[in-house]
This record gives sequence, structure tokens and C-alpha cells, in this order.
Amino acid sequence: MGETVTSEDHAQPLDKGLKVGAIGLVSAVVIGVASTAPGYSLAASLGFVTGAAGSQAPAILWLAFIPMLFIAASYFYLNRADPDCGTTFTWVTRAMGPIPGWIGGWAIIVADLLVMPSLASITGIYFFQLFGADNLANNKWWVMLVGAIFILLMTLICVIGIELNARMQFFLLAAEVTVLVVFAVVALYKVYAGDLPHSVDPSLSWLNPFAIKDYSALADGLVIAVFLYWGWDTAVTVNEETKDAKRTPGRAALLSTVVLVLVYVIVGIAAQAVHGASFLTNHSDDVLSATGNLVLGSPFDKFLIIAVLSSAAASTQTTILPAARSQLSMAAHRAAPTWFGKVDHRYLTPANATWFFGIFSVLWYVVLQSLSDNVLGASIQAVGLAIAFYYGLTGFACVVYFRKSIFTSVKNFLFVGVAPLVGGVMLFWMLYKAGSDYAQNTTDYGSVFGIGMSFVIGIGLILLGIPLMLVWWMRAPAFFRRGRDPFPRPEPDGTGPEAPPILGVGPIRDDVPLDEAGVFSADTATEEGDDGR
Amino acid sequence: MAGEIVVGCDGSPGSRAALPHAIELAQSFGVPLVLVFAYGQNPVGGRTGDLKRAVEDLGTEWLDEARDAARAAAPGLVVERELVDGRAAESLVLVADRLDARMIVVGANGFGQLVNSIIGSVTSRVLQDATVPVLVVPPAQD
Repeated sequence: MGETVTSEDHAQPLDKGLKVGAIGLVSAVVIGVASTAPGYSLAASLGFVTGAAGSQAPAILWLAFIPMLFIAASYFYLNRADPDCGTTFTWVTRAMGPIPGWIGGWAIIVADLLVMPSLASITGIYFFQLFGADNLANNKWWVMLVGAIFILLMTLICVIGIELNARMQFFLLAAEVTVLVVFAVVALYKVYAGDLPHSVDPSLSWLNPFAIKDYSALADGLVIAVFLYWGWDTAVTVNEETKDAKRTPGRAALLSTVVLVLVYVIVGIAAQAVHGASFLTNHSDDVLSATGNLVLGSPFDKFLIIAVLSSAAASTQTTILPAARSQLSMAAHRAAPTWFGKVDHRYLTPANATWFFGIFSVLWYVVLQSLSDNVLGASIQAVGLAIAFYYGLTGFACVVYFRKSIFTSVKNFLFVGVAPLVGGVMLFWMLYKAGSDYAQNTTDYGSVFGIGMSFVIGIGLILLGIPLMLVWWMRAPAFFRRGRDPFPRPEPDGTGPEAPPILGVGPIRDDVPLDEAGVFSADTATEEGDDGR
Repeated sequence: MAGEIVVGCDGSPGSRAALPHAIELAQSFGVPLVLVFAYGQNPVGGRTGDLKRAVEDLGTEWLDEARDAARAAAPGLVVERELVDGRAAESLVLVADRLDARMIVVGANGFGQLVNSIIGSVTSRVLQDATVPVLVVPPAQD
């Protein structure tokens, strides 16, 4: 019930208990899979996976899921301890302190930024192919124009807060997955019927990762494939919105996983069977329209192109929204200027952060596209590095945060200890192995001072965070004085004390002095400035 | 208690114009005034927590502002404030239904038909879904 305020009644809190329209299991799965955007992800990266792993690309596609599954455990449990703030940024801050936490938050934004050129150019290329304008699809300036307009349009949509209703979203995703599966089934049928002149019969060895002899090739392929699964953790982190917050997120994550692995492996095998792995590598920037054209012919291949375009739009939205929210999170906890935390009064969205990210993405895309002919390859390799970094960091944060709970039960030991640790080690191994490989690769995408381009932009941008962090530290040291969370901490099963606030529990406003916003000194939980607004 | 006047407060010119009418109605019927701010966020994209808090801060500010205005205009009027975690139109209708309110008062957003067809109008949704009378107040003309 609402609070009754009469003239003499000032101090009662507002009624915030009412909650409308919680998400069910199906919607959570839809959000998880749609955020991963299988159609776009395959279009953007399949040709690069075959480039790294050759015929064993399907093996990479399922293998890459394992570290993601392990890291998902850390998302699931950390999210229980701190369900409603940021993800990596707040969790790593709690577990390891503000410096790794800040870099973790920065890495999320870097990963989001790095994927934008790929989203924009896939959209540009497939847009022209939809209309059969192949000469324009091959002209990088026309592609750049469409891509840049697309980013700005999607940014505007995110600022206004236009969203598809659940039914429409479900329909679009179902259509996308159906088109992908139909493509795969028709392709395999034609391959076995001998209808395709250059087809290769699928072999079980395609699924065998041990057939990849070279560790570098394995790591290169995995880092790209990690990108394929990027985004499904959303299914885990929507839990505050779900009807049964204890069970729905875990089930949604598992179900969306099954859908993704199946779609990726089936489409991966089918696409490769059509004309062999090297055909996919040679068509890495339009892999699904090229194979779709061979398999389905015109005009049915257009369905595949439409599926990729709608998937890219969904993926752009699920890139811009979290990027803006991460900036807002950091601003809210005084780890970034309050400007980024401003909420638009009309649309109630983080408009400043959204526009900043959108416009910066366009600039970044234009610069990258102008510098490098294969902007897709460089940006996908680089984004894989950034994802591996912050996912891995999140895995370690889980182990560190719950370290006193790990040995209290077998379940905790496996899911809060072993899985996140193994996931983190796998991702950091990939980061190291593929990173050093990319650093030496100066031929594919160009180089800076003899260091490969993908390494320079991926690791370079993450490292750029350090001077930025130092500047902010000097300007506003409050966040950096915060220690790690004190013990006792929340338990993985959701019992125990609540996690204390990060910092900055007041409104995001310039006129709230940093030190009055609820400063934390190491291991003492004091909360100041929260005057029960 | 039933018969309340429910008014949407979202800081917009329309809702600012609606408030005085809602106050007047509540006063003349002798019923409580319920100020509602709703703030549903797009669940796509995950991690809405801090955004939600920032929006709640804004909403609280507007609700306080509206409450103060109501107190100043009509001392002794019972004023309730509600922050609802849900879409604006849906939430207004829901609050009115739950309270068995007498009327919903909303501001018109003042956009044209084209803009409304793209971004959706809270006011027209309320008109469609409401089970009680709805008063729509246009924004003040300057």
C-alpha cells in the first residue's frame, strides 16, 4: 500500500513494493539467446574460426562453450551476492578491490566498443546484398556509410527506449533460429544428395578438437568462438526481473546454452560441407550470404540475409544498452564522472552515456575501417581478447569473493570454486596464447611498430584504461579508497549478510560531494550520506 | 479506502499540468490523492540495477515535488506516493484497479500522432486499458 503523507508526516519511506510484468522462463531464454544473436555471430565469425582451425571449426564451436559454461557459474553465484548493480565492475571491486574492478568495468566497455565495427560492417554488407547490390557490398565506403547510419539509428532507439514487446522478440528470434536450421538441413540434404558440385561430406573428425595439432590455432579459434557465445550471460543476470529468481536464471542459462550449441554446431557443419572450410575463410565477411546463395539460391537466400540483419540489430541493442549501463554504474559508484550517470528526464534512459558510446563507436568504426581493409577480422580478434580478459577476471573474482565458502560443501567446491577457477584459467590461457599470436601477426590486418593490429587495438585499449583510471583517481579518490568487501560476506546460496554498498548510494548529481556519498574504508562497513531519501 | 484520484507524475510538462486538476478533484471529492511514478526498464541488455536506482532517485524527486505542491495548494489533503517498478501505462491502470480509484488523471505528452505511433503514448495506452474514468490534461501552452 502507498504511504500516507499528511502535513506532519515526513519520514516514512515510499512504497516500492509493487512490481509489474516479471519475466518468465521462456522470456529469459529468449533474452539470453537474442542477446547472443546467433545469426549475426555466425555471420561475423564463422569464416575466422575456419581460418584459425580449418576443418575442425565445428570442434572449436562446441569446445568454446566449456569455458563459457564455467564462467557462467561465477556469473550466477556472484549475481546472487550482488544482484542489482553492475556485473564484472562491481563484483571484481568487491572481491579484489577498486583497481582491478575499475579495469574490469573498463574492459566491458572496450569489448562493447570493439564489436561495433563488426556489427556496422556486417549490417552494411548484408544490407546491400539483400538488394542484390553486390558491387556496393564490396565497396567499403558505401558499407561504412550504411554502418555508421545504422549505429546512430540504434543509438537513438536505445536513448528513446523503444523496445520490442516480448511476443515480437520471441517471434523474431524463432524466425532467426528457424532460418538458420532450415539452411543447415537443406545444405546437408543437398550435400548428401550430391546436388552441390564442390561439397565435402561431413566427417566426425570435424568435431574432434584433438585433431587440431597446433595450440596457437586452437587458442586463436577459441578466442573467436568465445565471441560467438558472448551475451548469453544476460540470461543469468536478468534474475532481478524474473518471476522465480532462485530457479529461472539458472534454467534459462542452461536452456539458451543448449539452443546455441546445437545451432552453432549444426550450422557450422552444414556451412563447411557446402564448399569446404577454405571457402568459408575466403568469404569471412559475408559467409552466410555466400553459402546461403549456393544452398538456397535466390530469392530464398534472402531469408538468411534478413535473419542476419535482424540478429545484428538485436545484437547492437544488446551492446549499446549494457555499455551505457556500465558507464552509468561506474558513475553511480563515483568511479567515473557523474555526467555519464545522467538519466534523461523524458525517456528515463542513461542518455549521456548512450550518446557518448554511440558517437564514439561511429568515430572508432570510421577510423578502423579507413585504416584496415579487413576491419571485421581485426575487430573480432580484438573483441575476443577483451571478452576473454573480463570473463576470466570474473571467474577469478568468484573464487576470491567466496573463498571462505568454497570448502563448506561439495556443491560450493565444484560450482563456486573449481568451475570459475578452471574457466578463468582457460580464458587467460587463451588470452595469453592468442594474444602473443596476434602480436606476431603483422600481415593480416597491418601492424603498429611491428606489433600485430588486433593485439594493438585489443590489449592497447584495455591498457589505455590505466592512465584514464589514474586521472580519475587524482580527480576523485573516494572510490579508490574503498577496500574489498569485509567478511562475513554473502554465501553463494544467497544466505548470510547482504553485500554492503560499493560507494555512492546517493543520487547521481554533481552537487553531492564524493566524500559524503557513503565512503567505505577497508573492512569497515560504514554507510554515510544515506539519509533515507 | 476507495475512490482515490490517481495521477501520473513523470516530470513532463503534461504531468505538471495534470497535477493541479488532480489536486482540485481530490479536494472537492474529499478523497486521497495518489501520486504515481512508474519506471519499467528494458530487461534486454541485463544489469539494470544502478539505472533503476538512478531512475528511482529522479522519480522520488518528482513525487516529492508533486507532494509539496499538493500540500501547499491543499493543506490537510491526504497524499500518497507510489514508485512502481513497471511500464507507466500498465502501472497506472494497475494502481487504480487495486485501490478501486475514482479516476486516473494523466497529462497528454504533446507529441504528434507520428511520434506517438513510433514511441508509443502512455496516455493512449491508459485510455485503452483503464477500467475507471480517465482525465487527460494537455500541457500548458506558452
